[in-house]
Amino acid sequence: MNHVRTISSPEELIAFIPHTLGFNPESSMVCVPIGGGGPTARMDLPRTPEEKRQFLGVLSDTYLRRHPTERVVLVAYGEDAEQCVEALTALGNELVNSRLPGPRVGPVLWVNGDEWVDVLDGSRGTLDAESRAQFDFEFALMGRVKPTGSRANLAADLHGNPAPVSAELPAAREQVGGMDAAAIATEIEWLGMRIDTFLLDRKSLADPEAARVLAVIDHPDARNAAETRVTRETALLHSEFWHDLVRRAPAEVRDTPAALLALSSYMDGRGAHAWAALDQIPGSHPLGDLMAVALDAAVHPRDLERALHSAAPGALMQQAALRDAKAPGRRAPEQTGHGGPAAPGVDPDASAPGR
Amino acid sequence: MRREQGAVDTSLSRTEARLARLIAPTGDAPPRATAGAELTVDLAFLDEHAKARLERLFA
Repeated sequence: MNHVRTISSPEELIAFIPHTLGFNPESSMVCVPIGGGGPTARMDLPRTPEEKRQFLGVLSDTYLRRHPTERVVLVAYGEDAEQCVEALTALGNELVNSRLPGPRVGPVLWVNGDEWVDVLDGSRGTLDAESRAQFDFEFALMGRVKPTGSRANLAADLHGNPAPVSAELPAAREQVGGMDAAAIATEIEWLGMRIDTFLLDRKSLADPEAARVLAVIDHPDARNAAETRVTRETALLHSEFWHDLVRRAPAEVRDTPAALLALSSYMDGRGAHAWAALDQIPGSHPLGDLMAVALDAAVHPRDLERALHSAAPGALMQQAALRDAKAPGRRAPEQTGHGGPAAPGVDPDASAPGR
Repeated sequence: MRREQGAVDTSLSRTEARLARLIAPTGDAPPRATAGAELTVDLAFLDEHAKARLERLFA
Protein backbone atom coordinates (compact mmCIF):
# COMPACT_ATOMS: atom_id res chain seq x y z
CA MET A 1 0.00 0.00 0.00
CA ASN A 2 1.74 3.17 -1.16
CA HIS A 3 -0.65 5.77 0.17
CA VAL A 4 0.48 7.26 3.47
CA ARG A 5 -1.96 9.65 5.04
CA THR A 6 -0.82 12.15 7.61
CA ILE A 7 -2.70 12.23 10.87
CA SER A 8 -3.90 15.78 11.14
CA SER A 9 -6.01 16.04 14.27
CA PRO A 10 -6.57 14.59 17.74
CA GLU A 11 -9.65 12.88 16.33
CA GLU A 12 -7.55 11.00 13.82
CA LEU A 13 -4.95 10.09 16.42
CA ILE A 14 -7.65 8.75 18.74
CA ALA A 15 -9.23 6.82 15.87
CA PHE A 16 -5.81 5.39 15.05
CA ILE A 17 -4.97 4.10 18.54
CA PRO A 18 -7.37 1.09 18.68
CA HIS A 19 -5.91 -0.19 15.44
CA THR A 20 -2.42 0.12 16.91
CA LEU A 21 -3.34 -1.79 20.06
CA GLY A 22 -5.82 -4.21 18.48
CA PHE A 23 -8.57 -3.33 20.95
CA ASN A 24 -10.40 -0.35 22.40
CA PRO A 25 -8.65 0.96 25.53
CA GLU A 26 -10.74 1.57 28.66
CA SER A 27 -9.57 3.22 31.88
CA SER A 28 -6.12 3.27 30.37
CA MET A 29 -3.13 5.45 29.66
CA VAL A 30 -1.85 5.15 26.10
CA CYS A 31 1.52 6.62 25.18
CA VAL A 32 2.19 7.15 21.48
CA PRO A 33 5.84 7.90 20.63
CA ILE A 34 6.76 10.19 17.79
CA GLY A 35 10.21 9.41 16.41
CA GLY A 36 12.68 6.86 17.69
CA GLY A 37 10.85 3.71 16.64
CA GLY A 38 9.69 2.79 20.11
CA PRO A 39 6.43 1.11 20.98
CA THR A 40 3.04 2.49 21.80
CA ALA A 41 2.39 1.54 25.43
CA ARG A 42 -0.89 0.96 27.26
CA MET A 43 -1.41 0.51 30.96
CA ASP A 44 -4.41 0.52 33.25
CA LEU A 45 -4.82 3.82 35.07
CA PRO A 46 -3.45 3.50 38.61
CA ARG A 47 -5.93 3.37 41.50
CA THR A 48 -3.60 3.15 44.49
CA PRO A 49 -0.27 4.76 45.45
CA GLU A 50 1.49 1.45 44.83
CA GLU A 51 -0.08 1.10 41.39
CA LYS A 52 0.87 4.69 40.64
CA ARG A 53 4.48 3.93 41.54
CA GLN A 54 4.47 0.93 39.19
CA PHE A 55 2.68 2.89 36.48
CA LEU A 56 5.23 5.70 36.50
CA GLY A 57 8.15 3.30 36.83
CA VAL A 58 7.17 1.11 33.91
CA LEU A 59 6.30 3.89 31.49
CA SER A 60 9.28 6.07 32.34
CA ASP A 61 11.51 3.00 32.01
CA THR A 62 10.01 2.36 28.58
CA TYR A 63 10.59 5.84 27.19
CA LEU A 64 13.62 7.02 29.14
CA ARG A 65 15.74 3.87 29.02
CA ARG A 66 14.53 1.09 26.77
CA HIS A 67 13.00 2.95 23.84
CA PRO A 68 14.02 6.62 23.94
CA THR A 69 11.98 8.77 21.64
CA GLU A 70 11.86 12.38 20.61
CA ARG A 71 8.30 12.99 21.66
CA VAL A 72 5.42 11.22 23.36
CA VAL A 73 1.71 11.91 23.05
CA LEU A 74 -0.22 10.97 26.20
CA VAL A 75 -3.85 9.89 25.98
CA ALA A 76 -5.84 8.94 29.09
CA TYR A 77 -9.12 7.06 28.61
CA GLY A 78 -11.80 7.08 31.29
CA GLU A 79 -14.88 8.67 32.76
CA ASP A 80 -13.14 9.98 35.88
CA ALA A 81 -11.67 13.35 34.93
CA GLU A 82 -9.68 13.71 38.14
CA GLN A 83 -8.11 10.26 37.79
CA CYS A 84 -7.23 10.84 34.15
CA VAL A 85 -5.78 14.32 34.59
CA GLU A 86 -3.81 13.27 37.65
CA ALA A 87 -2.30 10.33 35.76
CA LEU A 88 -1.50 12.52 32.74
CA THR A 89 0.15 15.17 34.89
CA ALA A 90 2.16 12.70 36.96
CA LEU A 91 3.43 10.82 33.91
CA GLY A 92 4.20 14.00 32.00
CA ASN A 93 6.21 15.34 34.92
CA GLU A 94 8.00 12.01 35.35
CA LEU A 95 9.13 12.04 31.73
CA VAL A 96 10.03 15.72 31.53
CA ASN A 97 11.73 16.09 34.90
CA SER A 98 13.85 12.95 34.79
CA ARG A 99 17.60 13.28 35.11
CA LEU A 100 17.84 11.09 32.00
CA PRO A 101 17.41 12.55 28.52
CA GLY A 102 13.70 12.46 27.97
CA PRO A 103 11.14 13.17 25.28
CA ARG A 104 9.04 16.22 24.77
CA VAL A 105 5.53 15.54 25.95
CA GLY A 106 2.38 16.58 24.14
CA PRO A 107 -0.37 16.78 23.19
CA VAL A 108 -1.86 15.51 26.44
CA LEU A 109 -5.41 14.30 25.88
CA TRP A 110 -8.24 13.03 28.07
CA VAL A 111 -10.74 10.89 26.17
CA ASN A 112 -14.15 10.13 27.64
CA GLY A 113 -16.31 8.18 25.23
CA ASP A 114 -16.40 10.16 22.03
CA GLU A 115 -15.27 13.40 23.68
CA TRP A 116 -11.67 14.55 23.99
CA VAL A 117 -9.97 17.42 25.78
CA ASP A 118 -6.41 18.65 25.46
CA VAL A 119 -5.63 19.27 29.12
CA LEU A 120 -2.79 21.65 28.26
CA ASP A 121 -4.59 24.18 26.12
CA GLY A 122 -8.23 23.37 26.86
CA SER A 123 -9.16 22.63 23.27
CA ARG A 124 -11.79 19.93 22.90
CA GLY A 125 -13.73 18.03 20.31
CA THR A 126 -15.80 14.99 19.43
CA LEU A 127 -14.67 11.91 17.57
CA ASP A 128 -16.28 11.80 14.18
CA ALA A 129 -17.43 8.77 12.25
CA GLU A 130 -15.43 9.85 9.23
CA SER A 131 -12.08 9.57 11.03
CA ARG A 132 -12.95 6.12 12.35
CA ALA A 133 -14.15 4.96 8.94
CA GLN A 134 -10.96 6.15 7.24
CA PHE A 135 -8.75 4.11 9.53
CA ASP A 136 -11.07 1.11 9.48
CA PHE A 137 -10.81 1.14 5.71
CA GLU A 138 -7.05 1.60 5.55
CA PHE A 139 -6.32 -1.12 8.07
CA ALA A 140 -8.79 -3.46 6.36
CA LEU A 141 -6.72 -3.04 3.21
CA MET A 142 -3.72 -4.23 5.23
CA GLY A 143 -5.65 -7.34 6.27
CA ARG A 144 -6.29 -6.11 9.80
CA VAL A 145 -9.52 -6.88 11.57
CA LYS A 146 -11.37 -3.87 12.93
CA PRO A 147 -10.92 -3.73 16.72
CA THR A 148 -14.37 -4.04 18.27
CA GLY A 149 -13.80 -5.24 21.81
CA SER A 150 -11.88 -4.34 24.91
CA ARG A 151 -8.66 -5.93 26.16
CA ALA A 152 -10.69 -8.49 28.13
CA ASN A 153 -12.15 -9.71 24.87
CA LEU A 154 -8.70 -10.82 23.69
CA ALA A 155 -8.68 -13.66 26.23
CA ALA A 156 -12.30 -14.56 25.67
CA ASP A 157 -11.61 -14.86 21.96
CA LEU A 158 -9.07 -17.62 22.62
CA HIS A 159 -11.70 -20.08 23.77
CA GLY A 160 -13.55 -22.09 21.14
CA ASN A 161 -14.99 -25.58 20.97
CA PRO A 162 -12.30 -28.25 21.48
CA ALA A 163 -14.64 -31.23 21.09
CA PRO A 164 -14.16 -31.97 17.37
CA VAL A 165 -10.35 -31.93 17.56
CA SER A 166 -10.43 -33.77 20.89
CA ALA A 167 -12.21 -36.65 19.18
CA GLU A 168 -9.38 -36.93 16.65
CA LEU A 169 -6.51 -36.43 19.06
CA PRO A 170 -6.08 -39.93 20.60
CA ALA A 171 -5.47 -41.54 17.23
CA ALA A 172 -3.08 -38.78 16.18
CA ARG A 173 -1.11 -39.03 19.41
CA GLU A 174 -0.94 -42.79 19.18
CA GLN A 175 0.43 -42.53 15.68
CA VAL A 176 3.12 -40.04 16.68
CA GLY A 177 3.93 -42.05 19.78
CA GLY A 178 4.80 -45.03 17.62
CA MET A 179 7.16 -43.14 15.33
CA ASP A 180 10.91 -43.60 15.26
CA ALA A 181 13.28 -40.66 14.79
CA ALA A 182 13.12 -40.79 11.00
CA ALA A 183 9.34 -40.86 11.01
CA ILE A 184 9.22 -37.96 13.46
CA ALA A 185 11.48 -35.99 11.14
CA THR A 186 9.13 -36.72 8.25
CA GLU A 187 6.15 -35.67 10.37
CA ILE A 188 7.88 -32.40 11.21
CA GLU A 189 8.52 -31.83 7.51
CA TRP A 190 4.79 -32.25 6.96
CA LEU A 191 4.10 -29.77 9.75
CA GLY A 192 6.30 -27.17 8.09
CA MET A 193 4.65 -27.69 4.75
CA ARG A 194 1.20 -27.43 6.35
CA ILE A 195 2.10 -24.10 7.90
CA ASP A 196 3.47 -22.91 4.58
CA THR A 197 0.24 -23.92 2.87
CA PHE A 198 -1.79 -21.95 5.40
CA LEU A 199 0.29 -18.87 4.74
CA LEU A 200 -0.82 -19.10 1.13
CA ASP A 201 -4.48 -20.07 1.43
CA ARG A 202 -5.40 -19.05 5.02
CA LYS A 203 -7.83 -21.98 5.16
CA SER A 204 -8.47 -23.41 8.60
CA LEU A 205 -7.17 -26.92 9.21
CA ALA A 206 -9.61 -29.81 9.13
CA ASP A 207 -10.07 -31.50 12.49
CA PRO A 208 -7.80 -34.51 11.71
CA GLU A 209 -5.09 -32.14 10.47
CA ALA A 210 -5.40 -29.98 13.56
CA ALA A 211 -5.06 -33.06 15.76
CA ARG A 212 -2.03 -34.16 13.76
CA VAL A 213 -0.34 -30.79 14.31
CA LEU A 214 -1.15 -30.81 18.01
CA ALA A 215 0.15 -34.38 18.41
CA VAL A 216 3.65 -33.45 17.24
CA ILE A 217 4.04 -29.77 18.08
CA ASP A 218 5.40 -30.35 21.59
CA HIS A 219 8.54 -31.93 20.11
CA PRO A 220 11.40 -29.39 20.26
CA ASP A 221 12.24 -29.91 16.59
CA ALA A 222 8.60 -29.37 15.67
CA ARG A 223 8.52 -26.15 17.66
CA ASN A 224 11.75 -25.18 15.93
CA ALA A 225 10.18 -25.73 12.52
CA ALA A 226 7.28 -23.47 13.50
CA GLU A 227 9.43 -20.82 15.18
CA THR A 228 11.94 -20.43 12.36
CA ARG A 229 9.16 -19.75 9.88
CA VAL A 230 7.96 -16.65 11.71
CA THR A 231 9.15 -13.31 10.33
CA ARG A 232 7.79 -9.89 11.10
CA GLU A 233 6.35 -9.82 7.60
CA THR A 234 4.48 -13.10 8.02
CA ALA A 235 3.80 -12.90 11.75
CA LEU A 236 0.16 -11.89 11.34
CA LEU A 237 -0.55 -15.00 9.28
CA HIS A 238 1.28 -17.23 11.73
CA SER A 239 -0.74 -15.72 14.57
CA GLU A 240 -3.94 -16.54 12.67
CA PHE A 241 -2.78 -20.16 12.32
CA TRP A 242 -1.97 -20.59 16.02
CA HIS A 243 -4.96 -18.56 17.20
CA ASP A 244 -7.24 -21.00 15.41
CA LEU A 245 -5.49 -23.96 17.01
CA VAL A 246 -5.54 -22.45 20.50
CA ARG A 247 -9.29 -22.02 20.16
CA ARG A 248 -9.78 -25.63 19.05
CA ALA A 249 -7.14 -27.46 21.10
CA PRO A 250 -8.04 -29.61 24.12
CA ALA A 251 -6.41 -28.39 27.33
CA GLU A 252 -3.69 -31.07 27.38
CA VAL A 253 -2.17 -29.90 24.08
CA ARG A 254 -2.91 -26.19 24.25
CA ASP A 255 0.27 -24.79 25.78
CA THR A 256 2.58 -24.94 22.78
CA PRO A 257 0.07 -23.42 20.33
CA ALA A 258 -0.48 -20.66 22.90
CA ALA A 259 3.26 -20.05 23.19
CA LEU A 260 3.60 -19.93 19.40
CA LEU A 261 0.65 -17.54 19.28
CA ALA A 262 2.47 -15.33 21.79
CA LEU A 263 5.62 -15.41 19.66
CA SER A 264 3.84 -14.60 16.41
CA SER A 265 1.62 -11.92 17.97
CA TYR A 266 4.59 -10.16 19.51
CA MET A 267 6.59 -10.45 16.29
CA ASP A 268 3.61 -8.72 14.68
CA GLY A 269 3.98 -5.96 17.25
CA ARG A 270 0.93 -6.78 19.37
CA GLY A 271 2.05 -7.11 22.96
CA ALA A 272 -1.43 -7.33 24.49
CA HIS A 273 -2.31 -10.26 22.25
CA ALA A 274 0.94 -11.95 23.25
CA TRP A 275 0.13 -11.51 26.94
CA ALA A 276 -3.36 -12.88 26.40
CA ALA A 277 -1.86 -15.97 24.77
CA LEU A 278 0.67 -16.48 27.55
CA ASP A 279 -2.08 -16.22 30.12
CA GLN A 280 -3.57 -19.39 28.60
CA ILE A 281 -0.55 -21.42 29.75
CA PRO A 282 -1.06 -22.56 33.34
CA GLY A 283 2.49 -23.76 34.03
CA SER A 284 6.03 -23.51 32.76
CA HIS A 285 6.70 -23.85 29.06
CA PRO A 286 10.08 -23.45 27.29
CA LEU A 287 8.94 -20.95 24.68
CA GLY A 288 6.23 -19.42 26.87
CA ASP A 289 8.70 -18.61 29.61
CA LEU A 290 11.09 -17.02 27.12
CA MET A 291 8.32 -14.92 25.63
CA ALA A 292 7.22 -13.74 29.07
CA VAL A 293 10.75 -12.54 29.76
CA ALA A 294 10.97 -10.90 26.32
CA LEU A 295 7.71 -9.05 26.92
CA ASP A 296 8.72 -8.00 30.40
CA ALA A 297 12.03 -6.73 29.07
CA ALA A 298 10.31 -4.93 26.16
CA VAL A 299 12.63 -6.59 23.64
CA HIS A 300 11.95 -5.09 20.24
CA PRO A 301 10.37 -7.59 17.79
CA ARG A 302 13.06 -6.82 15.24
CA ASP A 303 15.63 -8.13 17.72
CA LEU A 304 13.55 -11.26 18.26
CA GLU A 305 13.45 -11.71 14.51
CA ARG A 306 17.21 -11.46 14.28
CA ALA A 307 17.56 -14.04 17.03
CA LEU A 308 15.15 -16.39 15.29
CA HIS A 309 17.07 -16.22 12.05
CA SER A 310 20.62 -15.43 13.12
CA ALA A 311 23.41 -17.94 13.60
CA ALA A 312 25.23 -15.70 16.04
CA PRO A 313 22.76 -13.69 18.05
CA GLY A 314 24.93 -13.34 21.11
CA ALA A 315 25.93 -9.84 20.10
CA LEU A 316 22.35 -8.67 19.78
CA MET A 317 21.97 -7.80 23.41
CA GLN A 318 25.13 -5.72 23.22
CA GLN A 319 23.77 -3.96 20.15
CA ALA A 320 20.50 -3.32 21.93
CA ALA A 321 22.35 -1.99 24.94
CA LEU A 322 24.32 0.36 22.72
CA ARG A 323 21.14 1.58 21.07
CA ASP A 324 19.53 2.16 24.43
CA ALA A 325 22.54 4.16 25.53
CA LYS A 326 22.11 6.53 22.58
CA ALA A 327 19.17 8.46 23.88
CA PRO A 328 18.02 11.42 21.83
CA GLY A 329 19.16 14.79 23.00
CA ARG A 330 17.22 16.00 25.96
CA ARG A 331 14.77 18.76 25.29
CA ALA A 332 14.58 21.57 27.75
CA PRO A 333 11.94 20.82 30.38
CA GLU A 334 8.82 22.68 29.42
CA GLN A 335 6.64 23.25 32.42
CA THR A 336 3.28 24.87 32.43
CA GLY A 337 2.59 27.55 34.93
CA HIS A 338 0.31 25.16 36.83
CA GLY A 339 2.77 22.30 37.00
CA GLY A 340 1.48 20.47 33.93
CA PRO A 341 3.65 18.14 31.96
CA ALA A 342 4.51 20.39 29.04
CA ALA A 343 4.18 23.92 27.86
CA PRO A 344 2.37 24.37 24.58
CA GLY A 345 3.18 28.03 24.66
CA VAL A 346 6.86 27.22 24.36
CA ASP A 347 6.42 24.41 21.86
CA PRO A 348 4.28 25.58 18.97
CA ASP A 349 3.57 22.00 17.89
CA ALA A 350 2.46 20.69 21.23
CA SER A 351 -1.22 21.37 20.95
CA ALA A 352 -1.50 21.31 17.22
CA PRO A 353 -1.33 17.76 15.93
CA GLY A 354 -0.88 17.58 12.23
CA ARG A 355 1.13 20.67 11.86
CA MET B 1 -0.45 -14.63 34.89
CA ARG B 2 3.13 -13.57 34.98
CA ARG B 3 5.82 -16.19 34.88
CA GLU B 4 8.89 -16.74 36.92
CA GLN B 5 12.08 -15.85 35.13
CA GLY B 6 14.74 -18.39 34.30
CA ALA B 7 12.37 -21.33 33.88
CA VAL B 8 14.35 -22.57 30.90
CA ASP B 9 14.99 -26.28 30.64
CA THR B 10 17.00 -28.60 28.43
CA SER B 11 14.13 -29.18 26.01
CA LEU B 12 14.69 -25.84 24.32
CA SER B 13 14.57 -25.98 20.57
CA ARG B 14 17.51 -24.54 18.66
CA THR B 15 15.56 -21.35 18.03
CA GLU B 16 14.55 -21.07 21.66
CA ALA B 17 18.19 -21.43 22.67
CA ARG B 18 19.00 -18.44 20.47
CA LEU B 19 16.16 -16.48 21.99
CA ALA B 20 17.45 -17.33 25.45
CA ARG B 21 20.86 -15.95 24.55
CA LEU B 22 19.28 -12.78 23.22
CA ILE B 23 17.27 -12.22 26.36
CA ALA B 24 19.96 -13.18 28.85
CA PRO B 25 23.28 -13.72 27.07
CA THR B 26 25.26 -13.89 30.27
CA GLY B 27 22.80 -16.06 32.10
CA ASP B 28 21.81 -13.21 34.37
CA ALA B 29 18.15 -12.47 34.87
CA PRO B 30 17.21 -9.59 32.60
CA PRO B 31 15.89 -6.39 34.10
CA ARG B 32 12.13 -6.27 34.07
CA ALA B 33 10.15 -3.61 32.28
CA THR B 34 7.34 -4.07 34.76
CA ALA B 35 7.80 -3.42 38.41
CA GLY B 36 5.20 -5.83 39.70
CA ALA B 37 2.52 -8.31 38.90
CA GLU B 38 -0.62 -6.22 39.18
CA LEU B 39 -0.17 -3.88 36.26
CA THR B 40 0.82 -5.10 32.82
CA VAL B 41 2.15 -2.84 30.12
CA ASP B 42 0.92 -3.67 26.64
CA LEU B 43 3.43 -2.68 24.00
CA ALA B 44 2.48 -2.27 20.37
CA PHE B 45 5.29 -1.95 17.86
CA LEU B 46 4.02 -0.33 14.70
CA ASP B 47 4.84 -1.69 11.30
CA GLU B 48 6.72 0.55 8.91
CA HIS B 49 3.58 1.77 7.19
CA ALA B 50 1.91 2.85 10.39
CA LYS B 51 5.15 4.30 11.71
CA ALA B 52 5.45 6.45 8.62
CA ARG B 53 2.13 8.06 9.46
CA LEU B 54 3.26 9.01 12.92
CA GLU B 55 6.59 10.33 11.78
CA ARG B 56 4.64 12.76 9.64
CA LEU B 57 2.15 13.58 12.35
CA PHE B 58 3.93 16.65 13.63
CA ALA B 59 6.26 17.30 10.71
